[in-house]
Amino acid sequence: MQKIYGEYNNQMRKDIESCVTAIQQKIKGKDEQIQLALVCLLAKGHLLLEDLPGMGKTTLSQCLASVLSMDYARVQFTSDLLPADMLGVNIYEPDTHQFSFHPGPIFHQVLLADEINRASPKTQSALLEAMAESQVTIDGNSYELPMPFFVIATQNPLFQSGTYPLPESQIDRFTMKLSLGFPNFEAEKSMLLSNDDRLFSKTVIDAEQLLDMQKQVTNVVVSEPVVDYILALVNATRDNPEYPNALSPRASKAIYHCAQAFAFMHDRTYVIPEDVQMIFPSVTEHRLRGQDQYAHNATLLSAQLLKKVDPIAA
Amino acid sequence: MVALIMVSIMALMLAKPGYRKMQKIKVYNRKIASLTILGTFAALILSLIEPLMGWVLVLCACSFCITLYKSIAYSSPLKNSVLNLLALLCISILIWLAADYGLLNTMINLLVVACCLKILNLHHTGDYQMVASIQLFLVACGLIFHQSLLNSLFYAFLIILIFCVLHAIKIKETGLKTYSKHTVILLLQAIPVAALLFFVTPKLSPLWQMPVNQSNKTGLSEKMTPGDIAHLAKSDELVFRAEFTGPLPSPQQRYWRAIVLDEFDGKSWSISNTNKSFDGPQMIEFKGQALDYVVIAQPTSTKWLYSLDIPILIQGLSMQTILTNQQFQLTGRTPLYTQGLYAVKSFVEQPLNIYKGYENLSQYLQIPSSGNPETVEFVSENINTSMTTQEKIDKLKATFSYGDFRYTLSPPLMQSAPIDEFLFEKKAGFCSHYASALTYMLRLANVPARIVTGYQGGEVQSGNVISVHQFDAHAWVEAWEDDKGWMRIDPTAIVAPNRVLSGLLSMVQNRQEFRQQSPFSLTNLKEYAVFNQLRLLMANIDHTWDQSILSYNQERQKSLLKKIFGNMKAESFSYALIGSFVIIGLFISLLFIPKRKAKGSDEMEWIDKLFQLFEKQKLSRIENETLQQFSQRIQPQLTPQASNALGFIVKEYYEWKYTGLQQPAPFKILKNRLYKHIVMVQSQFTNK
Amino acid sequence: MKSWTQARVDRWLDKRIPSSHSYQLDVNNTFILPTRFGWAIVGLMSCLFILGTNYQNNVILMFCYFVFSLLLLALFHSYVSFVQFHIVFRPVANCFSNQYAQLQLDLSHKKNRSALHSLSNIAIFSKRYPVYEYLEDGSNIIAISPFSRGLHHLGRVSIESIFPFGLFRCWSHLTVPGQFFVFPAPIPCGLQLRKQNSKGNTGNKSGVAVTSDDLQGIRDYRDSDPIHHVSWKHFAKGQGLFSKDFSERSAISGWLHFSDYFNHNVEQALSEVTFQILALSKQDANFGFSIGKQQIMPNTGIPHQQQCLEAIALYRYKQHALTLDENGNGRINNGINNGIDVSQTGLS
Repeated sequence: MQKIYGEYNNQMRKDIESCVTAIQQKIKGKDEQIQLALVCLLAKGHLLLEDLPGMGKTTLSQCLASVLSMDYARVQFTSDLLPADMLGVNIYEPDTHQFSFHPGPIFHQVLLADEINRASPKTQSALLEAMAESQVTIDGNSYELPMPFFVIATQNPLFQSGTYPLPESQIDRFTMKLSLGFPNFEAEKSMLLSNDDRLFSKTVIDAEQLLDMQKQVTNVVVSEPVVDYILALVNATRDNPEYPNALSPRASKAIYHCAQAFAFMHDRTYVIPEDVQMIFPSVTEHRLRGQDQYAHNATLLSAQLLKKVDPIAA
Repeated sequence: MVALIMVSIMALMLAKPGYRKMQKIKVYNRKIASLTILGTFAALILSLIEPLMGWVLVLCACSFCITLYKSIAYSSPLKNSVLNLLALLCISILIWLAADYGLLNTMINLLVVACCLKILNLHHTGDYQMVASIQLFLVACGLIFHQSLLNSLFYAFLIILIFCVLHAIKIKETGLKTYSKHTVILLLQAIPVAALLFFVTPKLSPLWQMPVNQSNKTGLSEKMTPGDIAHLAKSDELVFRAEFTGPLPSPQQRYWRAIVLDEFDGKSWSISNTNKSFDGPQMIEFKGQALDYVVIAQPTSTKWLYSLDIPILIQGLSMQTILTNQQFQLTGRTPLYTQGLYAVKSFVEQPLNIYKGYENLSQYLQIPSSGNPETVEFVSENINTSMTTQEKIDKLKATFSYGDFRYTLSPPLMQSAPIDEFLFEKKAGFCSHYASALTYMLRLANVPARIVTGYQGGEVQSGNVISVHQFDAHAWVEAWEDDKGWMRIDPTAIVAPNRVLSGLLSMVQNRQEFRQQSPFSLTNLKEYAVFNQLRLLMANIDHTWDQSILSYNQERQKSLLKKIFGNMKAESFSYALIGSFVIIGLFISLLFIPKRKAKGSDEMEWIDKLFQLFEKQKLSRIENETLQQFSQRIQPQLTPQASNALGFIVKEYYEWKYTGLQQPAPFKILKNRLYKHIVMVQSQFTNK
Repeated sequence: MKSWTQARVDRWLDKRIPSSHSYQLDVNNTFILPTRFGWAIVGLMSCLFILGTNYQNNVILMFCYFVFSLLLLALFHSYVSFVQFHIVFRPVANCFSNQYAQLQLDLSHKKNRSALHSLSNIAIFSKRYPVYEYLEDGSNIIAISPFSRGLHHLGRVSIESIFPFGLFRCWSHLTVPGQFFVFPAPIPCGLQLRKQNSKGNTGNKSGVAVTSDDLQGIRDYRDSDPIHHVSWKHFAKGQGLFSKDFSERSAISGWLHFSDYFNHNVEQALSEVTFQILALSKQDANFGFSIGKQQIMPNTGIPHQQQCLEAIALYRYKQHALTLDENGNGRINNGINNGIDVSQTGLS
């Protein structure tokens, strides 16, 4: 049984490996971010990408969607985008004399919300229900969203003009926030040299397999010491003035699931503290900062936290 | 010597102007604190008023008034330099006068002066603390003089007040009731430990001789002028208590001998300088009934102690030896400056003739060459040489029986020829008059005679205790009769038989006189049964206090401990004592010993040891690394074998710790499995 | 030599009591020794013992043992009442160099303490700053001392208690975590602002432009009002001439250059620029700030103001020492009232 499980697992791992390599061909020198994005996906979480324009945010999300062969919709958020534009509307059909629902772009497995912080808060919060409950309610009717459902949002740094910062409630719903950053010299050079076209259509796994993997991820063992470690980390932020935004239980749940996914990706049936440490900054940094994302200096709050809490004693 | 050191310490304390910054900090509850400290100051001064010099008292009064004003209406602090100058002046005066006043008195004066001056400037915490410590010292000084139960309670109350102040100035602002309650609670907590220490700690003998106060306490003096004892009769101060184990002596036997006076200069009697010690018989056989009793003597200014005739010392004072001399007296080497306890056996029925033949009786015939002519004439008229000694005595005693003599506490003044005046003119006097007159007459009649002063009677308490007060002071006559030895003759008994049978106050007239002299004495209430009961009860409590606390000495300590712990050697006792101290010490240190981290004991220890192993090689764990991160970081610095071993350790450890959902397998198994590898890593280090 | 031992002690303290935002006083961070008065009482006790023994006076001996057991008790109570406390340091707020830096801390205690220990009074003090304050339960604000411009941290402060009778002193040295900025004290001066897009020194230095956007209300027409502000609706209804009142928001925009203020005295210039930044922020101006090589893009709001002020605080600032500016104390104290007014208006 154990062995079969292991082999089954092994196959999955190979699939993931090939996913990573496939994306790596398009986005060079960002292995860690690609891995983490996949971890987020496996943990059934939503991803927030934040960076300056032109860093490859959109490319990454496109790649993710196409590699996983999920149907994909992209919504460019602008300040005049309305919730209905995204969720869909009931339209009166003159033929049937009835209102029929025309689903919006949210009814896709992967929704790329580009430049989410350009939209008005009203539109931003329309995403809330969809992200949290995987369903949409319009005019009193609830509509199930397709499974798996994955929101990848990109945003520009806040100091850029014409942006509405995401409210804390929304920030908390994104499992991870990643930042791509400038590529290094080698990566950028090879990117320029390889004259790839923009389209990317290599499919590695399908949605069915992804769901299967997501299920397997939840089977990864998280032992008591690791749970204690997660709780120690989370508790260190509570009742501490250095951390204005303490981590919520939702955050600890996100850490838990991401650590599982990370362990799964690294072919382990159990989580070790290192897994937690790897995913911790991207899961918690945006939550810890909250509204004032730039109030503190360059050192990451989450990194400080990791240094402070002893994983062995916890 | 000690006093000198103390003097210098006090001087330093006073003159030191600098405080630490910390001690200048805020004082809470200021008003009540300063008033209380002023109150304790006043009480202390009043209780110590005797040894204080006049000018010090004046200084105290001034200081009291100023401080009272200051604590009611807050004003700015006085200049420290002025105070220091004043202090220096006072100290130099005191040191200059020290020779006259004695060291103890000087020290007390100095402390009082220090307190006086310091109390003027009660502003900072340090001021309060200094005044409090001086006052605590003064309390101790007060206890040198007064140790009775009431006084002790009084001083205990002062101590409570002083600690109240110390508490109040440093706590949060609260009501008077709250902090006084808490202070009392705190102090009460200290009492059991203190009591235990008191009863258990070994009693030491005096380390060295201490200065003695030169106060003129009331009591018998070594020189008696007729009329002297009358002033003692006005005092109801306790002299001693005697606790009898057997039967009590009959009232006629209660003559407590203290001093024997044998030299007469025509006016007063004193102790002659001639050597009275002689070689007594080798063996003395005592006959008759013996009384066993313990005397608890109050401090006096003389070295004479009290006993019934003929005393044999059973157990002396703890601090000094008691001598018995051939005049049947007990004396200490030095005056009794604290309470003393000694046990005596008295053979009351034995005639005082045991030294017959050894004694030089001629010195008891000494008379002044001139003076009192009428008496000389009177004796030569009435006595002839052919009469036996007994006849002479009877004849002269009869003088008082028929002579219309009166016993009074306030005798008229008799100046030039006191005995003549007493015998033939005034015919009124106190016991000393009678004793003096009779002794003189006996000597004129060639009968060896001497005056004995001491106490007569006493009040029986709770069956077996006799308390003797100053007003029981008495003087009587001893005359030598060849067969019977020294015979006690009490001429006062002839005039006022009640005086002997039931004490001074039995006579209504005396009582009135006594009341006039000391209107506030509790003894006045003797007539009222209820009050008398109360008075006796208090006397009983006082006696218990004396017995149990004041007279607690090495012997008693031993017997008490014997009672509790059974028979014990001195060594084992001292071990037990040291043991109990160690236990107390351990208990306290336990509070402060850091507690080990309780969690995951075995595993944590192992991990700690592992990291320590590397730390010795300057490979220390940084910033809460996990074991894996640590091993990866230090890998380049290890030999391949060591790094392999470490890798294995990490792998095994991780598998053990993190694969299980619930309780992992016992750590011991893993530990044993990994032991080999740890040794391997270790050996790689040592090889390097 | 002294500094070496001091450094040793500091290192040892750092290891023993690591920096943290919250401290539970316990065995590991508490020191306890008799106070001077405590030693005096120990001396008194030995004197009492000598007196009691030499005079064979049991009452004095009893007194001596009483003092001894009281000392033991005081030791116990002192410790127990001290470790009941829990201290949380709040981040030190940024301030101006004419203000006292304010240390904020929360004091709490164990819930099951006895009534006796609730009387305990603990105080905070520091070797470096002239501070001695008693702490209250709950939030405390302690004015430490004015600092010179720059980025500071408070370092170690000590807390102590001499609770029962002042016989023993319990104390602990705690590190206040975090750093804080000290901005120059603002000094009023004239505004020098360059136009938003102008490069170089030419061009209009006061780029003041009035833009009207939000309708605030209707008021009586004044002759100076522009004609397009007249409320024609009211006029058509025959209600007379009214003028639409627009809020004059965000009227000022431009670049603030430090070099425009610089003349010989750097600190003076920095103070003036500080004043200007506060004033501009108060008017909600959209301004950029240039100091040295650093440029801060035009923006509005408190974060922007903060950013500008931090740039000023760190201008040519070397974080070499954290000593007090002792010479500056007098001058700083004089300006306190003025400074507080400005800062309040600026920051609120």
